[in-house]
Amino acid sequence: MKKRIEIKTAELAAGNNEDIIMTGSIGSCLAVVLYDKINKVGGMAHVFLPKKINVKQKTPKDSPAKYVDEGIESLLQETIKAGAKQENLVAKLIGGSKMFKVLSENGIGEKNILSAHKTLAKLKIPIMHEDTGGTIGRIAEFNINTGIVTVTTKM
Amino acid sequence: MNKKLKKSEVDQLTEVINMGAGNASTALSQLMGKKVKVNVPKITIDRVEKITDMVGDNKRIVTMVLLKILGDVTGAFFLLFTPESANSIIKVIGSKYNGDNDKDFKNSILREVGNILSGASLTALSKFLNLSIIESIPETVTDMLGSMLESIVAEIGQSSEEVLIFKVSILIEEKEVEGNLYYIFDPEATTKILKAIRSI
Repeated sequence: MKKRIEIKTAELAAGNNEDIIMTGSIGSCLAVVLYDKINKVGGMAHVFLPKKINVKQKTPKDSPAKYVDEGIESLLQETIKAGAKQENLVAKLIGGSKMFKVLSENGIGEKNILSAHKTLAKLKIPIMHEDTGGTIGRIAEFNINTGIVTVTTKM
Repeated sequence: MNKKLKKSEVDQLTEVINMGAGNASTALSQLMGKKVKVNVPKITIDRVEKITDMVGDNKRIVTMVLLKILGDVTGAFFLLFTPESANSIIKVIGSKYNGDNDKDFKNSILREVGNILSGASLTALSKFLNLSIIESIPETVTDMLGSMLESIVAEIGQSSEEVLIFKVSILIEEKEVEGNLYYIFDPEATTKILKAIRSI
């Protein structure tokens, strides 16, 4: 049965050719897509911040895809669990925009993109396509059967 | 800070924000020559990455005027309107000036509204709390609400796990224009504000 999975910020999901995974409200965040086109298995993570920082407060366990580096590694595990082979995987990146000029000069969006490049290089997963940067929000929808990621903007 | 702020602390914070928002609405009322109603601030404390879930349909298009809060406390202040409400405000205020009525003129009106409201509100807080609260220049963006919120909260997420948000609904009478004021603080700022309240 076809499943439509919507993930929120800091969440991830993996599935097979019957699934469509989507996420909205991407701003400075990144939607990272991993895809094995031979087995038609893939996954998506909506990662939020470049990497874990030293924080003062103690809080419960982090959401699985809060940080780009950890999030991509968790996404890889989930995608393999769903039936993908690591050597077949390619990545697509969506988001990382700079919505406001008044926020930090070295924007978080850009840091997220850099962190994703670094993590994917370490995992030897090639980036097949990127729709990143700019100043507007995005919605990403990943059809695992076709491997096509549709990016919608509203501006 | 954690989610368990004491009730008395929540009350104190709400009271202070209420005062700031009251000043903002008075300023808006004078600016527009209309009555402005303000609701009691609603407080939310949550993990930074959860914030985009709390606004309902986060893919809807809104117009935001954002100012960063600097000084003794860090955070952000923003006004949120539907694009239609933003246009109504621009119409009322813009009719008093000779502008080209182009996008630049409209955005500059909104930025000025942001400036005046944040100024009225944050100056009151700053005086009352005896803290230095400075705001950045305003910026206007129209886009998906979730994308904007996410980007604002990510700033705070760089140094803390949680964020505290006050939402104040405003209603401009006659025009039936609705909008919201938001005050966002990191936990450190919240602690500083509470400490300042206690020393008054």
